[in-house]
Amino acid sequence: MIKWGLLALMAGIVLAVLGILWMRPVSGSIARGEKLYAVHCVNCHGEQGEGLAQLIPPIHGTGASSDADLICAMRYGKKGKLEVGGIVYDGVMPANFELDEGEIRDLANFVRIKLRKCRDCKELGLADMPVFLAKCTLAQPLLLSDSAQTQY
Amino acid sequence: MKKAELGFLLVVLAFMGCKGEATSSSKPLPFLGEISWSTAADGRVDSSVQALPNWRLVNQDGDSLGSQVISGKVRVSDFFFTTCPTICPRMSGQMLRIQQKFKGNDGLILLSYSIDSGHDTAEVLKSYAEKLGADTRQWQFLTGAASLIFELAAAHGSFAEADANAPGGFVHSGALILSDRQNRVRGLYDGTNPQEVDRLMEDLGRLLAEPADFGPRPLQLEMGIGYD
Repeated sequence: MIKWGLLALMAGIVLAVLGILWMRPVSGSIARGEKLYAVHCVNCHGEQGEGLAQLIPPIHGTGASSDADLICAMRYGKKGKLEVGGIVYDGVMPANFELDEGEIRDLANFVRIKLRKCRDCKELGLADMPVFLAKCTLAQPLLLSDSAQTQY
Repeated sequence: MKKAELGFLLVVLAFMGCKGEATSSSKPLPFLGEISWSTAADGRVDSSVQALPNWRLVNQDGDSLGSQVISGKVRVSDFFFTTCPTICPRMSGQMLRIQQKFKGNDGLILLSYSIDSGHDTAEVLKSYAEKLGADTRQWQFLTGAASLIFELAAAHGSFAEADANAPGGFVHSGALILSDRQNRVRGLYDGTNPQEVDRLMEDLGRLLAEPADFGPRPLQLEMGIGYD
């Protein structure tokens, strides 16, 4: 009897540890990103990142965009054709120059880890941002002038 | 005949035409806007309420459309623009929910008035409607002179205005406006809040079931150029 009781206790402990690991507590960066998402993104991309019909692409799918594309779009906006899930979108996403690098990191962490439920993704740090942003500034110089023209 | 008494209210007023106690779901919706009334010699009260003005605008197919073509229908209206970087996609998504719930109902028409007549041509509106998945047999996208649309927004109890400092160049309300078969405004709802739109859909069902001649007489507003 005691043997079975010990086994049950051990199984309970193992399950509890697994549960804690699986639930993964929300970090400060993700929590801040969730608040920023509600202000800057939710009107277009929806509560769960589902997008809107064929007007606005979803961002909750793991294959929606790379980390680099995501971060560049957050800062500089996006324009032109974009295929997601077999649908071609052709809208304009406004730039967000008012967001600082820490806020972009928080937003990216929320989208990557919470919305996309990516369990293998590590949180991006502040030091990662200049690396990503330097690349997209060089890759998308036209978007800067486009954004200025459209008063976004 | 006694001299008629005339009352005039400039604030939102609930006109309750029911007798006895009623549950919230069976109470008639209020009439919003200016209500005036007079009492005749025999004591009968004659009341009238401000109704939405008639208009003539261009729809997503490039056709000139007069509001009288859709008279007798319950309407849900919003004021938006296709390049809006803020609340409009959320409003359009909620309008789409309404259309999906009341699909094929001939008693209902959805109207989306563009407040950006410079950009939102009929062609642009058509493309927007198609990508949104709107059924334009029941949902019309309308454009016209900016001043006319801004006036129409105000007549609905909503708001729209050009503002170079605002995101996208316009400031506007996110309201969805519910009006009845006699063009009397019966409710304004936050079009960015799904729970508010749930309430709108519930009220919409009640309006569709309401006798068309219920309540005060509609008093048509006299407006400027562009109105029928």
